[in-house]
Amino acid sequence: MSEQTSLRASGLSTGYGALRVLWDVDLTVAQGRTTVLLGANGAGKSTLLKALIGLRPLWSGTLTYEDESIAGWSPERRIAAGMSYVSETGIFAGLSVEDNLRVVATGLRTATLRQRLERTYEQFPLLASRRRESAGALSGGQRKLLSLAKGLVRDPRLLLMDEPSAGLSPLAVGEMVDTLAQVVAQGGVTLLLAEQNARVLELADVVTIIGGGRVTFAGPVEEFRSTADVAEQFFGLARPAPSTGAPEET
Amino acid sequence: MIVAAVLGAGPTLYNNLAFLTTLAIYILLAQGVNIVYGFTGYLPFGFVGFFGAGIYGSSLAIVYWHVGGYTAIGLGALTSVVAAVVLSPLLRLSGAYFALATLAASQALYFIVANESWTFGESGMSLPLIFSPTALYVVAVVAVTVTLIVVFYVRDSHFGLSLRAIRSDAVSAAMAGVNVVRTRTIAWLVSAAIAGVAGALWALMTSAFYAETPFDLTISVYAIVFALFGGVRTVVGPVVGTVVLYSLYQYIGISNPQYFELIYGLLIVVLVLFLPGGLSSLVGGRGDRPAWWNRLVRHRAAPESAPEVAP
Repeated sequence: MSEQTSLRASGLSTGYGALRVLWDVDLTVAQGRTTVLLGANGAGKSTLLKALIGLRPLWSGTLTYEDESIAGWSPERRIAAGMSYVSETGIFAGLSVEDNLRVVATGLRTATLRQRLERTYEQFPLLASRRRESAGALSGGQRKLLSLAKGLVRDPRLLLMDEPSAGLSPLAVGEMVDTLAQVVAQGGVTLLLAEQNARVLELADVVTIIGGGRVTFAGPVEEFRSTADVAEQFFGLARPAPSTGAPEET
Repeated sequence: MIVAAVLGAGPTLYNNLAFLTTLAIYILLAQGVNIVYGFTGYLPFGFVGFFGAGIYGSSLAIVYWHVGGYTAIGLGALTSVVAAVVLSPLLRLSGAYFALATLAASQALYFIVANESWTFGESGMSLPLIFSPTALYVVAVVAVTVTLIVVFYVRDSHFGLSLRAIRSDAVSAAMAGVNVVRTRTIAWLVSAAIAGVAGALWALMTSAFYAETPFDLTISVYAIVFALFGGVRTVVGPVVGTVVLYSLYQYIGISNPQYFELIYGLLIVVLVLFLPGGLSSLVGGRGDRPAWWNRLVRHRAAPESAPEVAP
């Protein structure tokens, strides 16, 4: 295989205070291959993304990005190196839509910034029409679009996105999936999406399942689909007590 | 520019230089609060500590080193900045904890200054007259002008945008590539420097004082309320707030302090309930204006346009 590794975590564990959330997680994200992290609420998906971007310290394990060890790097440094992180609620409600995008451009030259903003508005016409409005006035779906647009302003090579579908109506989830598909089609950025909505699997090249803080499955999406047992296990099909839809606190 | 012109013309409008200089000092303090609270969301309840540091930094330099007025002002600002550097770990705290910690720090500074002999805590400070009242007022107007330019910059620059982003959500700001700690610390130091200049001006104006006055918590409260009343995150808001409320204080507060406290308290209640964005929110963008004001303005505008539609 000639494909290059974007991000690789091995034996990664972390947690909050005395509470351990992740146990020996191995994760490989290949460049250009969309990876979907599946897991129920509380499985540790968000914590894993936070550990990857540097918001949670590693308790053990190694972490490399483009073959460099980044375990000791600050989030700012990881972002400067081409990583990007879109949290579940990643907008500045008190700022206008345009200012939300401009904040992300810290360190970019004015001309570059203008060109990036134009590109963003072409890609997200809805944001263009509301650029002067307060981001707090946007609907849930529009906020998600804005947070994704923010995540793309700096031309990242690796985008980590936490729950693109969270809080969206089924229709809006479809639109979000289409938007992400466009982002993938444009190339240049590898996506790592933490999700629990099966719709997002349409985008997946690789699936990693996290359950109870451990990786329980990792492989190409075809393998995931054909491994009926895994799929059933995850989506709770053919089980008397479905467990995935239950909203637990993360 | 307008503010500077108005301040420059101040003496011809109202010939009380002590009042006008104090007004300028409060404008500086309110702008300091504006930068640290308005743009970063940290409420510095002990902001008076920086004012006091500026007062004692400049005064002690005059007494021991016999420095000139401008050097004293510079050293006053420097003393406050040093205090701010020492206190910068407090920025790890948030909300009420930060407010209380700065309060405690300012009181700690007060107790040191009030009890040491080298700070003339017992005997009180007395300084030679360096500037004439007119010259001092001119210096104060220059300081206010420079500060307003700084606030203009903070409001409109990418630095200011980063501050507002941090205020909105510090983690997301870090994710946007903003260096949260550095940006916040710079704002903190700039606001301390402004308070230090204000303190030095006060020392040069007052020339004889005990430590109680410079560290009076009322100064913190006034600076915060003046800034909020006018509207933080704007350039003109804190100026307007200070001019309105401090003038009110001048007319009522000195002769009838009890009425002033009453009016003052009512104003704070009105501010919190009806004008959370301050006076300047009335003329700001539509989204920033209070809903009741939008209704009022619309109702008033309606009759004027009605006759045109009628025939």
